[in-house]
Amino acid sequence: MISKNVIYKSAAIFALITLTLFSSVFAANVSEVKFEISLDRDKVAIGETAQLGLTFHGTQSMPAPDIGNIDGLEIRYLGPSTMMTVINGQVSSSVTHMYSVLPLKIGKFQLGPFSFKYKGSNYSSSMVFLDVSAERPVKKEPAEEPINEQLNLDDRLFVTLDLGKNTAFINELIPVKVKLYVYRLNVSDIQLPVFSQEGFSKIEFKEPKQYKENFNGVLFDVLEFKTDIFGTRPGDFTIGPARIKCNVVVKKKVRRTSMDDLFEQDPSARDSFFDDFLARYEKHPVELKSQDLKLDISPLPSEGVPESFMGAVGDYQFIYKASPVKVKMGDPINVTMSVNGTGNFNTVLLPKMDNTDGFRIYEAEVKTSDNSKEFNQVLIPESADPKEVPKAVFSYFDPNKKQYITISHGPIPIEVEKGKDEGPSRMIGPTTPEQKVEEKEDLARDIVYIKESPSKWVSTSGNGYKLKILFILYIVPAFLLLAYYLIVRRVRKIKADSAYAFRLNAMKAAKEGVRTLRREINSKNSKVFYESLFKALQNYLGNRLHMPSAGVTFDTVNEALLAKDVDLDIIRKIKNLFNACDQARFAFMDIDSLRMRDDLKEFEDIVRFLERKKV
Amino acid sequence: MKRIFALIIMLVLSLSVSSHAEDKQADPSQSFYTGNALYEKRDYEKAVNEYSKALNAGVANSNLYYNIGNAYFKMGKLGYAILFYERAKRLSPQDPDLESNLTYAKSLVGNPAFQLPSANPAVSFVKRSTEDFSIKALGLSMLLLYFIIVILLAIFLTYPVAAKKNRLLFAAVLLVFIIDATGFAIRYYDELIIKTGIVVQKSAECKYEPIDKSTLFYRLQEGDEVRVIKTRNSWRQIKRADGKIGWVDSAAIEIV
Repeated sequence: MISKNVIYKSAAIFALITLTLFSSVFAANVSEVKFEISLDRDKVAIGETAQLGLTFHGTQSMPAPDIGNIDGLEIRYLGPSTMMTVINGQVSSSVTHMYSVLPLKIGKFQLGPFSFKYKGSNYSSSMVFLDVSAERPVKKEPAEEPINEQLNLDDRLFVTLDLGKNTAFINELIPVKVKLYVYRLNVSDIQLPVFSQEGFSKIEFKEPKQYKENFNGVLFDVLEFKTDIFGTRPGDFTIGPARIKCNVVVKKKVRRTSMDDLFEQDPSARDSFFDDFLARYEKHPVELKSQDLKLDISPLPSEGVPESFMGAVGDYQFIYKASPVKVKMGDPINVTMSVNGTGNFNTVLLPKMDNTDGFRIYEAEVKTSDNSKEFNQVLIPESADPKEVPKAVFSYFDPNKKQYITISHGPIPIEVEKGKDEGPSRMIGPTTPEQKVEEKEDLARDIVYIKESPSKWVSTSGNGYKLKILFILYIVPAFLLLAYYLIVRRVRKIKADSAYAFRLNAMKAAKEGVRTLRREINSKNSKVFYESLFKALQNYLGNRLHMPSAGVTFDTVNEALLAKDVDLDIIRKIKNLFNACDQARFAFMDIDSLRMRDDLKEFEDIVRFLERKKV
Repeated sequence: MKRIFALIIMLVLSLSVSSHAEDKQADPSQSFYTGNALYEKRDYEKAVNEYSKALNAGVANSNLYYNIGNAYFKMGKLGYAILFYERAKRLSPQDPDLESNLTYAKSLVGNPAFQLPSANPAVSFVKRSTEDFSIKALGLSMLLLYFIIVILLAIFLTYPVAAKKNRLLFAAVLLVFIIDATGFAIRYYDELIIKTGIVVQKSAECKYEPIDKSTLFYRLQEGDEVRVIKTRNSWRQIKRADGKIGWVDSAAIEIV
């Protein structure tokens, strides 16, 4: 009998496998796979090992790539390590295949780039270098495993905060890097870092980067969050601590009950494999805090501020273009002003243009990307007077050079032709409030007036519609068509099948002959009767046996009838009829009407027989 | 063969004779014009009575129904107005004045509580394609197309080469015939087999049983369209568009 315990264990295994498969497939499907290479250290001495990690982000089902041999290094595969994180609902997963690298000689070794093909896709990594020296590096690193075992939770899971600089000007971009370090822990539901932003711009982190990093001799899984902030007012500020909320998943063994022990009387029979699955996984929410950092935000210098300065801080280039430069009055000229470079693009505003008299100007269209901001402005010459697109000036403060810089371009010469029509110029672009809007007319509603004369009268009984008549009108042509079809088919058959045509003629000749003979019996003229009988025999047998009717005699038909296996009794009857005809025609014998009737009957029997036998 | 031709000729003659017979019935045109004169004097009730004389003579036309609908509209009887507009629409579905008045009358009685369920796409396509034609026009065009098909088949039987050359023409005629015939069948079912009723009273109670004191099931509003299943004594069994069946006083509902 299967114990309750075994059922629970099986269910746990099944659930775990299903979850693993699902998460693997899900992870593989939702994101693009990235292939990265890492070394836990870049300098080792002869006899020491380094760990090489080949990480595939976005999947957990990638097999270990074959990286071949590298002269001077002994590389051994250690095994895979998987990681799955959920950050603000976004699932990311990775698998890292670990290799131990043992140098056999001194030198600088290049590992990678590695290329790997799996399921039709090619994956390529970058490269890393390993410096192998005769002596150990000066910095003595404690043995890895013993230390690792001494690590407590704070050492295995922590957050660091790093600022690109500790002094900055107002509006100057300051890179912020928050790193979550994880060492051999299952961490899930990781939230984005948060910290106080008073005096700073809104903090919006980009998608985190995941990699491995050697930190104090321990290889950590690292999740790196990056963003840029800028100070909005001067002063000494404290940034941080950055806080990250997440769940640590820990394994907790289920306490065995006395009932379980009762079922398993021999404790040594316990299955350690199933005991692992019996373990329950629990999530423990934790909030991790980084250190805080001091940041001094200075105001922009008050001296030497250009007139055209509007707050832009960074290091920029300014490009100024106008197109077309030869236009008709009222036609638009597109002026493009691009600001490229690095810095806080939030502070980059539309560069100032000098005197724009003579132009109608519409609001500029703005396009912003990571390293540029483009302003597209439409200028319309209202007369033929403007000869140039005015000069544009862009000023910014360069925090590295700590000075204001002004770039000016233009003016750009243009040619404006007078239009043929001196009337008002064309209206393009957004409508102005002055534009006259057609007023919507408010119409009343009522019914349309009565009809003045009656239309065609119809009966109110059955709407004047005669279904029965309609039915007949449908049936009749159908029957006519069917009849016509049968006729056409018969005609075609007669034309195509000569045997069929002969058969039809034979039957026709027989019927005609019988009608004539019946008529002539009453005339009691035996000679005429037998003349007709002879003709009827000739016509019928000639058509039936496909031979010329005029040449038909008993002798000519006898052979044909014998060849067609016609009954001898019928042949005899045919012979008798031919003989009777000959006697009446040539011997002038007077034959009574009784005999004539018998002979007619004989003729009919012959026809019936031959038709039935289809000779 | 001669007998068949004779039969056809007799049928055609009977059609034309019946048509002439209708024309010669008590002069409905006179009632029509008199009704119009009364309408112009805004004596709508008398106008309706005069128009009705033509109906009592057993004849009608779309303009007569339209004018009666207008007179009822002016009298404020929107249910009756919709009823007569619907009757006119069956005879003259393409009349824009009629469509305008019907839409306006329906808009005044408010939105119907339930819309008729939409048909499947093929039926909808056929209905859309044939909605501008009366049932009579559909029937006659169907007959004409049928004759053309029969003649084409006879030609193709005689000259098989022609069949090969005119395959597309035949397919086109056949397709139009099928659409026409389907439209005719749908219209025939909707107009002549199914009885459509219009609520002509301001409000009508629909009950579970054809008894005065029966439980009230739901209420119908003036101008609502229902399907009349049967009539029993002074009650009509009706089916609302949402499928709910009940009994309504027959005076409250007129069949289109």
